[in-house]
Amino acid sequence: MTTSRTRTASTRAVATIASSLLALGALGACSTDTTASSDGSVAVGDTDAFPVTIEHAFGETVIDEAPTSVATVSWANQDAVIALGVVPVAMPFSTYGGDENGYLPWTLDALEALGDERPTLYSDTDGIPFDELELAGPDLILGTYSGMSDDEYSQLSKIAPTIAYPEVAWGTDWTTQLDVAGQALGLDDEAAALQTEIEDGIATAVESAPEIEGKTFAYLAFSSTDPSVVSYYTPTDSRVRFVESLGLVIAPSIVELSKDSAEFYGEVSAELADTIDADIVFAYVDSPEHLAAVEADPLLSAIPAIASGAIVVLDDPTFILSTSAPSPLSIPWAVREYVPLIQEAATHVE
Amino acid sequence: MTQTTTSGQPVATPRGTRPAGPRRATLVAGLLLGLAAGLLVALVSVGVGARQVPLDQAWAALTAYVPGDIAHEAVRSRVPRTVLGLLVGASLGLAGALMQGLTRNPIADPGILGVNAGASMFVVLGIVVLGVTSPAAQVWFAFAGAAVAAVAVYWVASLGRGGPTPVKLALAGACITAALTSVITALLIMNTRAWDTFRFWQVGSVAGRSLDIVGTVLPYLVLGMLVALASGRVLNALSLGDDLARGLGQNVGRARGLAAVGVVLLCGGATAAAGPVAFVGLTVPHVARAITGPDYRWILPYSGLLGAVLVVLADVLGRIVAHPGQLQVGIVTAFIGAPVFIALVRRRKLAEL
Repeated sequence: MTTSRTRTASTRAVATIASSLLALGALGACSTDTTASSDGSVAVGDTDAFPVTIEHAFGETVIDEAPTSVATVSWANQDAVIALGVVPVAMPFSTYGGDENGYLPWTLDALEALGDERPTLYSDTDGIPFDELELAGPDLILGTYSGMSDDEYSQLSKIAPTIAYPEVAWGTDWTTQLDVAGQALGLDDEAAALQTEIEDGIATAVESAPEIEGKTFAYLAFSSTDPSVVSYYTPTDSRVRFVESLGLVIAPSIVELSKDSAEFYGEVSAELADTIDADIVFAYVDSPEHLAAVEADPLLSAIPAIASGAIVVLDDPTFILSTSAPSPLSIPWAVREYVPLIQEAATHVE
Repeated sequence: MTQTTTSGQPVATPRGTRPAGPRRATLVAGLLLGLAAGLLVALVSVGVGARQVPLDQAWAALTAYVPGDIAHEAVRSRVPRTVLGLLVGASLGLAGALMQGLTRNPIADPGILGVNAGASMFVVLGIVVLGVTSPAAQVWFAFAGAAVAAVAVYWVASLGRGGPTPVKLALAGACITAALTSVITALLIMNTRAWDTFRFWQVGSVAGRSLDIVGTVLPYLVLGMLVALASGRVLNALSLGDDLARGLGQNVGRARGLAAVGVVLLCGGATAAAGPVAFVGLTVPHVARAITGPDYRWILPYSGLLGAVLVVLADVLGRIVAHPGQLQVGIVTAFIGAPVFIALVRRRKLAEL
């Protein structure tokens, strides 16, 4: 896999998505009443929909008026807001997978398509910086995709109405993120339309690659420091669900290994490598050298898909993040990036 | 207190009441028994794993190896981890006994005296600054870090009046560990790739290491073991206190220095190869002392043997309880060691080494 080649392709792909988003945003602005608030900023959503009540893990949050300044915490949430044509006032700096300015490529492309207005980026490597968030003056804080604690929720709620994850920490899929953002911003119709558009895009991509449909897969992580075990992601994991959405089927051995587990991943000894019976393996590795080491390892090379070369190599944090923290912007990006790689891997299936 | 002659023979019992320990013949028999136990756990370690391989096939894997046969490959993959387990266990057991005798501190341990933190710090610096991710190269960083930390802790503890007393050594070790851990955390937070590489190393493990790594650290471990086994008399003398030891003709400074070199060789080498394996250096010498009595010439070899058996056994246990995955040996030794440590702390006389 050459990252530079796929990057160029991805830039084009995202530009297409972003321009359609821009059109949607413009549509939204035309069809709804825009209301100037006291500080001069403008609510983009349907003001008649408010007050809105949203339920989540820590209770109910009532949003009295259409928000004008949205701040987001954790991963992915900024994307749901930007996908709906709204630039957040504050969002986290993406250390993992982001560029040197802290932007993920799909987020940056969508922001540029919206006129390149930039939010305040804050660092959350040492926890949520409550002071900085307060300074940004949000009237809504979105953390639909997050693992925020009860305590963090209380502190955020003192700054502005806050929405936590619905039920499972880190378990919110992109459709729910979009749905909640739509409700909170008064952009329900726009959110529903965008969801349909994204799903149609996935369907088109899948139709264009019939050879990958029905292939079995295992999503594995290899460690360069310990080749004696392999980590596998269970069927509840977002990465695995993303690959399923492309028409592939989880390998029976992974289903069997995961059957008593509530975790999103597990470990299996490399001594049992030959039992991982997938057509295609999605492999997290550290580097091309690490991949070569895996392919040369006397035990790991017994994984049938490693032996046949039917491997989708994942050694780029941006790639990994696009489906491990799926968002309405990252998923279309990931579909365009992953499908050709899976097609290539499928040619090696024996 | 044990009284010794200049030749190191114990001539009286501690506090004049406790027996001097079992007789020589019994102790020699115990050592032979320990060797047999070591051999047995080594065989079990090669024979038992996630993949069930019949005994005749396991034997064939070693004597009539067919490359590419997964059963053979599985059995052969257990050999380096067994060898490393024996070496690391023996080194940590010996290092713990050395440290405890040297500092007259019953809870001296590579973890407590800052050696693990020093090794970790250098490994992280190697990853972050120089991009060193191969285990074979990381060995050298861990080794250097262990040595630097040991010297730093000893130097800090030596400052002020009274020299490096047990309490000052433990405090200096805790302080340096805390400081280094903060720096490590700061570096890792800013560097996800380093974190991915480091988080495995951070919990001690003998799994997935190649024989190359064993080869890299072997000379240092063997040298360290020789120094340790030769230090029995010196430690016996030091256990009387510096003044008495000096009176008995020991060059206290030189004796300490040599034993400290042994500690750095053993801890640095073991930690470099396997990461910080907890509780072995702390608890094994106490178990050895309970068997042998206070004579370091016996405590040291017993600690080495018991450490080797414990680490290999813990690695085998980790493979059985977490099937079809495995637990890292550092987790298992902590599981076994923590209750033992609590029991030791609850015994008051522990503080009177």
